[in-house]
Amino acid sequence: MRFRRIIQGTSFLTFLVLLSLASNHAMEWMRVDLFLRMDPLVLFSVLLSARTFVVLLVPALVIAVFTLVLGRFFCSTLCPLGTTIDIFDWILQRPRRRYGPKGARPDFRSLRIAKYLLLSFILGASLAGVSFVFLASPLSLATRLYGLAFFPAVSELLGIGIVGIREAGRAAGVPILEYTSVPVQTFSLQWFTLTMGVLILGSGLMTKRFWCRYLCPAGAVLSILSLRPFWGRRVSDSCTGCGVCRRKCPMDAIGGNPMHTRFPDCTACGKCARECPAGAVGFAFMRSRPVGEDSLFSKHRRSLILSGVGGLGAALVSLNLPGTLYSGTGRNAGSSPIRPPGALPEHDFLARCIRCGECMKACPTNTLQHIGLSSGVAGFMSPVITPRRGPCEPSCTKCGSVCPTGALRDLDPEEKIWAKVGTASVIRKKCIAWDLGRECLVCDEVCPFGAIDLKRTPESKAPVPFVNEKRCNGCGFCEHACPVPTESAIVIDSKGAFRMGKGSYIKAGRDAGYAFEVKQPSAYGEEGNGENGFGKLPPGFDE
Amino acid sequence: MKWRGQVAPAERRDPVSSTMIDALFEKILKKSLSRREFFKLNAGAALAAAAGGFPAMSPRDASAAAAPNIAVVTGSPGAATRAAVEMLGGMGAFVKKGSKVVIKPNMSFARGLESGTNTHPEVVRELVAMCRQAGASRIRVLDHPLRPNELCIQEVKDACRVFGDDRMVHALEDKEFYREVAIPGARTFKKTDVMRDVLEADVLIAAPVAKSHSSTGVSLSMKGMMGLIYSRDVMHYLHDLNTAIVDLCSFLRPRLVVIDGSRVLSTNGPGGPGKVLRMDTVIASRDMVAADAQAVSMFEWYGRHMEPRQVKHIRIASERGLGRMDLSRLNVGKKSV
Repeated sequence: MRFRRIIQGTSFLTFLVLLSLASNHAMEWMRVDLFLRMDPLVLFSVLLSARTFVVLLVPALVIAVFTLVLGRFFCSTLCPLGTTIDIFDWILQRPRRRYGPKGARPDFRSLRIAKYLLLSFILGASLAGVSFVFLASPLSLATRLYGLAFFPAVSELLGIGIVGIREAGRAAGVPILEYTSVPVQTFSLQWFTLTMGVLILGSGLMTKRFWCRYLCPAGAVLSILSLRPFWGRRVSDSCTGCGVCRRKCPMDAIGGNPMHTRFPDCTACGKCARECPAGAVGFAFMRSRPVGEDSLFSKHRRSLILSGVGGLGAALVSLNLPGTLYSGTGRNAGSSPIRPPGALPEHDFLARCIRCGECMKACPTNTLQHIGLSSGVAGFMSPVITPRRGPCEPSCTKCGSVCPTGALRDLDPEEKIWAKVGTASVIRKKCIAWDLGRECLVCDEVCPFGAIDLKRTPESKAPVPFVNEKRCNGCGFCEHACPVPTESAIVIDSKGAFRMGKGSYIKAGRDAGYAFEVKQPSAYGEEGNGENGFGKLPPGFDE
Repeated sequence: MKWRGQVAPAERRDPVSSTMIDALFEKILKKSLSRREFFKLNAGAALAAAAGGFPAMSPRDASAAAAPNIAVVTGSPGAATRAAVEMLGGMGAFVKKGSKVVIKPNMSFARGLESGTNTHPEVVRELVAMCRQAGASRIRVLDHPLRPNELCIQEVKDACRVFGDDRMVHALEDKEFYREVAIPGARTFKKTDVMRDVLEADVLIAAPVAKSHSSTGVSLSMKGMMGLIYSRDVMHYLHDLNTAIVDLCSFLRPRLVVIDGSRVLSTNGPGGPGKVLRMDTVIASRDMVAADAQAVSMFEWYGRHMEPRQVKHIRIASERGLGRMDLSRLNVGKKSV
């Protein structure tokens, strides 16, 4: 089955290339989130939690239909996490194969139910509109692992290499790579991504494809779909019953009798066919479909139901935890994160967001970060704008264009400018102009919307900034550039953010009296009135 | 008004005319040789003035007919730039064969030519052309902009494409391109990180656009030096901004200042949008204080006439002997092209 290897390799490279292109503006027409949209777990979980069929997830539906015919082919060919696990298994299992003790490996077979329990838990939580899918969706995990840990590490190394080459060139008097520098993205919850990665890839020490066999809930969805496939492993009469195929099978999908295949576990990788000394194993369409005899579900049905109820319960509890926005009555004291432009209303947003980090990988200013627990357990790992780290560039529409589930709307540039994410406010006791009476206008200078008005007031020695809320779209240039050390003296909060599931932001904004325009003048030095002090003297000049 | 159309695209530039300009330039250069020697003396006097007190001999007394202290030329941006530099003795007076040159225009905004926030690309292109003709070995056009850099520098980059050196125009945002330096004699702003290219250059040319600035009055050649350092935050936060600018200018002293007054952002600077006056003027001088003073005095700010002394950093710089703002005692050469 060299053919499968070629598909697997091509698919893995495609995944990496698409992910690396996520932030490339020239490639905006390309759906770089294609792989994420093929995840069957995401399909069903989002279907339940958002209570709507997300058209973007059609590729996952296609995979599901093909799985009914071909079994779990997805795991051995398309899944980038599966490929990564194969690579790590190959590395981790090598020394053991050579030096490890011979004899029976520990048997994990009783864990086979675990992935179904996990699936049941996640779908149970989805019923309550809470998405825990990010914890175990293989595509979400792989996107985070590569996009938010692997690629930044590669950029870092590349940067070090380039500096080395440049300095060597300078020493030799040859100008080379003079102004090349590699931007390195940083991500605040990278440790979580890496920990998950180490655990999943490290499980290869126990047995091959440990994650895929026993834990992957997307694999569980595919297993259920492939109980009775039309195509699959077939063993001819020339089988000698030697059991090589059973020992070599990476998925432990072959029963005590090598003629027997557990189709829910078989990923059609073809290892058995390659290894069979008698050439008795092949893959073909089956004359009679196998009986879906897996007794696993009937045996564990209580556990499965309990797990689902557990997921539902955990979700309901998470909605009541501190920090969660949409629970209880009265005004909520929980923090209200600044969501990326075009984010759906918070509840729908969290129901759809699978925390894959694709938007963060795509964000050119690195402002998008995973949120920790500050917006509750239900919001853990969801994206948030962190203006101090970077502003949200008005002309950029990247995050919405790469979102696989439509949790962020794919806005055109005009709409994006009106998709207000928050409002700035000046902290007067920290502001250089307000508190120290010194001239400073950095917030005004960098504001793309002309939303900062500098005015002289009777009590201020220098012109002081005021925020014109009708013009402030919350982009955060001011908070990012404020020269006050550590915490900025002008900060964005999510007050006034437009969170709309549908309809035009331009219309909604105009109706509410907003005026966002990237080139409009701000209102200082308005002629004539003399009220703000500029009637006497232009700003910045002395008497 | 279609400002953008004024920048001739690369392919429309006639290669023949370029060589003709070269030849013409050579001629002018040879004629002015004796004058250049005078400039050396003059520069020495200015240096003495900067170090100690008032200059013993005002240039006007020495030779009123010789090169002016300040050249003010009206005309299209490119031609006026060339004429202004030639009035000061030509680029050869500043750039020697093999010199490394850094040109510092304003490239901090991505708001289009008509906004008056960036230096006119033709001014920059003309300066580069003159530096090349003077035999510069390496020319860099550099700034540290506020907004995402590629958008900000695009106009200048396009204009400089004719020179066929894609390493010429840069916005340097990465700290590795800067080196820490001490500023000897600084009152308050004692150390900073300056672009490595600037530290290694033989000649620094300031090419700011003339614009208002609501915390320093105006943003001209002196204020523009803030675009050559890495962290500007401390200048605002720890120090008096105007004093810190003068400290910085005592270290970063351009040999030539060319102020682009083709459009003057008269209100709402530095970012605008504000009232843009079309002045079609270029001001050039060896003295950054004098050049800035001239721009303050000759353009309108918020509908008013302002005196150079009303700009705090110009006043302090003059007091500290960095240059002169007493325009009435300076020789201002005027010309129209």
